[in-house]
Amino acid sequence: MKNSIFNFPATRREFISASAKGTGLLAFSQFVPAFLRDSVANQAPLPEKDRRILVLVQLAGGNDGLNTLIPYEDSNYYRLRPTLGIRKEDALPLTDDLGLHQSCQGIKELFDEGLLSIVQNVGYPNPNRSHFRSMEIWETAAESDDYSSSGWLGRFLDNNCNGTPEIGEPEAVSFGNEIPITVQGNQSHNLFALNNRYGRAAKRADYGLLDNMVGKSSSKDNSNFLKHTMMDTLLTERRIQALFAKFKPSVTYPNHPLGISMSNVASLISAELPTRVYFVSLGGFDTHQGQATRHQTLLKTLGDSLQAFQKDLRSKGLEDQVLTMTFSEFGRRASENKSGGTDHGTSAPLFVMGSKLGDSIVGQPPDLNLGKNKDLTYSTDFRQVYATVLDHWLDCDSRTVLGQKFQPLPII
Amino acid sequence: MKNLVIRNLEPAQAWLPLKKSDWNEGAARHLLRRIGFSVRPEALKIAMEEGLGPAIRQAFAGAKVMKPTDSLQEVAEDYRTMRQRQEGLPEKERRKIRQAMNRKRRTTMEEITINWLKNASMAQNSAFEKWGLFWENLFVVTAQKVKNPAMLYHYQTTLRRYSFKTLAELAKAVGRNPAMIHFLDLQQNKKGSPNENYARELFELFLLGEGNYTEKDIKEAARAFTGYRQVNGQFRFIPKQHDDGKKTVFGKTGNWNGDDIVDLALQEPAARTFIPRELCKHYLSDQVIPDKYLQPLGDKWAERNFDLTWLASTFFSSRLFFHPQFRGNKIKSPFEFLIGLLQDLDLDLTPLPRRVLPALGGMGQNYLNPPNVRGWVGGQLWINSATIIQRRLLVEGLFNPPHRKNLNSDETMALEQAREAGQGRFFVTRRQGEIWAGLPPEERLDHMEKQWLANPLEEEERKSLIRFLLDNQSTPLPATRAVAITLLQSPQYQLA
Repeated sequence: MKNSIFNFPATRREFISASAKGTGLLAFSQFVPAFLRDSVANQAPLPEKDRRILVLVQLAGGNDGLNTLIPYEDSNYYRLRPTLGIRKEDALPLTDDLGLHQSCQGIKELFDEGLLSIVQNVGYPNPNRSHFRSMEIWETAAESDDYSSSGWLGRFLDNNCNGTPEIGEPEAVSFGNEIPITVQGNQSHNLFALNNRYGRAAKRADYGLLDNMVGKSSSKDNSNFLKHTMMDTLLTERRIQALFAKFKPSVTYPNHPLGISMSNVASLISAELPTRVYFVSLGGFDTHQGQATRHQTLLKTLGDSLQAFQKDLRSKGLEDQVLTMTFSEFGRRASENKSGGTDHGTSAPLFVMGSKLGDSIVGQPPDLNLGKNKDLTYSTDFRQVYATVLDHWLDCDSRTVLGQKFQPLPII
Repeated sequence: MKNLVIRNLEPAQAWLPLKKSDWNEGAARHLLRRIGFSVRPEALKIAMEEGLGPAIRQAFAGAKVMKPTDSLQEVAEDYRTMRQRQEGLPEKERRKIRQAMNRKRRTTMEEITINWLKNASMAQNSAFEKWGLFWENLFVVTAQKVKNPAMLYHYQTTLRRYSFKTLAELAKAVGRNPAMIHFLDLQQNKKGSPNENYARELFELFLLGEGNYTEKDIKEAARAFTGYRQVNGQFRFIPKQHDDGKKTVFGKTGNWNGDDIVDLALQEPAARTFIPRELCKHYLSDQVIPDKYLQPLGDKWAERNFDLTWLASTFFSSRLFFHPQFRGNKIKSPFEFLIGLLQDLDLDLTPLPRRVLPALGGMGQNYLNPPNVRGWVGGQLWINSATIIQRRLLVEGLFNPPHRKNLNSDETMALEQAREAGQGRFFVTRRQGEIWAGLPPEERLDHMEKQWLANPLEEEERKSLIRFLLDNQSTPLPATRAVAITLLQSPQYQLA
C-alpha cells in the first residue's frame, strides 16, 4: 500500500503546503480547499505561552442552589424545606449565616484556601422553566424572550481576541458527545469534542485515502460541514492521543466521568495546547423526586473533581492560567414538593475557581420570605458573571459578545 | 436558524402527489434512503417498475412490532417481586439483590437493542422501524430513568401499535403508558399536590411546542392527569387521587381528565403544524420547514381527524418530500448509519454485543436512551471529532472479523448459534472483496459509489481513488478493500 499514516502532515498548514507544492499525500489532488485558503489568509496571532484558559462545568438538569449554599439562619428556609432542608449542624459553615451542603467537603477546602468564590443568587429576568429554553438562555446569553443561535463563548471566539489559537488548533474542547451551543459562534470554529472512550480510536484506519475525501468543497452545506470536521479530526486526533497517553496527573482524580474529564482537561492544558475554552458537563441535577441522596452524590462528585483538578494544576504550576466556573440552567423551586424533590425554579449560586480571585462571596442572597410555590428573584444577572470573565479574564470586550454593558463583579 | 427558502414550490402545491413525470431513478433512490436506511437493488427495481405508491406500500410491508424475548418476562417478574424479596433482609443482602437486578437489567437492555437492530435491519421492517424511531424521539422516555426493560419494551411496542391510528389515540395511549407515567413523574401527580412534569412536556415537546401555552394551562392540565398511576408495569387510574374539580385549560373550563387535555390541545392551532414540523426534521431536513408550508398540510390533516396513516402516505408521496433541495443533504443518525451499513454490505448484525453496543454509545445514540426528554436533536450535532472517529471504527470492524482467540466462550457460542440459524454473514469476507476486485478500476468504483453514496463524488475525489486502484493493480484485493473502507468512512457516506 503506497499511502501510509506516517507521512501525514501534522498541522493544517503543512497539510495545505504539502498539497500546494504537489508533494506529500495530496500529490494527485492539486488544489487548495477554499475554506482552508480563506482561513490561512486571515492568519491569527501566534499563541502566547501564558494565555488564560476558561473551564466551564455545566451542572445539567438544574442544580438546587438552596441545598448547595445553605442559608441556615433563615427560618424561612426550613419552612420551605421541612424535610429536604440541611440542618445547620450538618452544613459546612462558611460565614455566620451561610454554609455548604455537607457533601461539599472539596468545595469547602477550596473556599478556605481562597481558591473558590461563590456568586449568590444568579439568574435573569422573566425566568423560563423549560430545561432547554433556560439552558439555551444561559448558553447564548440572550434575553429570555430573545432567540440567538450562537453561544456566548462562540461569539468570544468570533471576536478573535488576543491569544486565539493558531489556525487548525482546537479553539474549544468539550468532553461529551455533543458540541455545546455555548461554544458555537456565528462563524465556523475548530471545535473539538472528545468522549472518555477516546484514545483507542483510529489506530488501524487508513488515513491516506481518506485525506483525499475531505478537501474539495461541495454544493451541499452538510457535506462541507462533514469534510471540514473530518479534516480537523484527522489532524488533531493523533496529537491528542499522544497527550493523554503521556499525561501523569499529580493527584488521584475521582473515578467518575467528570473526574476523568477534568483529568483530561488538565492533560491538554499541561501539554500547552493553545485551546482557551474547555467545557465539561455533569448531569443528573433534575431532582424532582428522591433528591436527598442523589444531590448529595452529585455535589460530592463535583467538589472532589474540582479539588483534584485545582491541586493538579497547582502542582504543575498552571493554576494562574486557569479559571473554572460552574453553571446550571436554573435553580429549583424554593418549596420542596411532595415527592421528596424540588421542581424547576429560577436563580441559584454558582462557583468560580482559580488562584487569582477577588471576593469570596459575591452578590445578595435570595429573599426567602416567599409564599408557597413561589420562586426566588435573582439578584445578580448571569451576564454580569460572563461580562466579568470576558473583560477581566479572557481580555475581550464584553460588549461585543453580550451586546451591552453589564456591571462587573469583584470576583477576579 | 437561517430562514429556509424552498425554491420553485408554492405552499399550496407542496403536499400534492409527486408528478408522474418526476418519478425517476433519482427520486426512487431518495425515497428508499429516507423512508428506510439504504437503497437495496431489489427495492429499487420494484420501485422503478411499479411506481411511487407501490414502493411506499412495499416499504411498510412488514409493519409488525418486535417479539419479546424470554428474559423480558423474567425481568418483569423480578421487578414485580423485588421489594418483596428484599423485605426483612439486612442491607448487605438487599444490596446484593439490587446488584443482581441491575446486571439483569443491563443484559436485557442489551438484548432489546440487539433484537431491535436485527429487526430494523431486515428490509421488510426498515420503514416501519424508522417510523417508530420518529415517535420514540418525540414522545421520549429514557432508560436512564425508566430502568425496567419490560416497561421500555412495552412502551416501544405501544408507540408502534398506535402509530398508524390518530394522533389523539396515540397521545392518550402515551399518557397511560407505565413507562411514561414513571418517566415524567405522573406517579407523583396527586390531587392537592400536582406534579407538572408530564403536563409541561405534553405541551412543550409532544403536541404544541414552546410558546403555545401558558404556565396556568400547565398547572391546570397537571391536575387533569392526577391519579394516573402505574402499578407493577400496569396502568391504574386511582379515582381518590384524581382531582375532579373544574380546570381551565386553553380558556375552556370543565372537569377535564387527561384524555380531555389531549383533545383540548389538539384543538389549538399549534397542534396542526407541530407534528408535521417534527416529521420533516426526522425525514427531510435539519432546517425547519417554514410554517407557510406546514400549515396547508396541518389543516388537511386536522380535517382528517389527525389520522396518522393519511399523514404518512401524504408526506412520503408529496412534492415537497421529493424536492431536489432535500436530496443528499441529511446527516445520518448513528442508528441510520449502522443499519444502512449492514444493508449496504448485505451483512447480518453480529451477535457479539461487545462489537455493537459501545460503538452505538460512542456515536452518541443508545437505544431508548436519549440524553433527556427532548430526545436527540440530531443533524450536525451527531458529528464531532469523537463521533466521526467512532463511525470510522465501526466500518473498520465490519471489514475485520475478531480473531477467534479474542472471543470468550459465550461469544463463540453465539456466533455458532447464529450461523446454525442461517445467519452467517457478519463481516465482509475475502470473497466479497474478490467480486469487487474482479472489475476494472473505474467500474469497481462506479459500482460502490452508486450504491452507497447519496451524491456523486467530486471529480478530484474520484480521480484520487482510481489512481490508487491503478497504482496498486498488483494487489487488487487489499486495494479494493481500502477503497471500499474509505468510501464508507468518508464524509460523503454520512449523508442520506
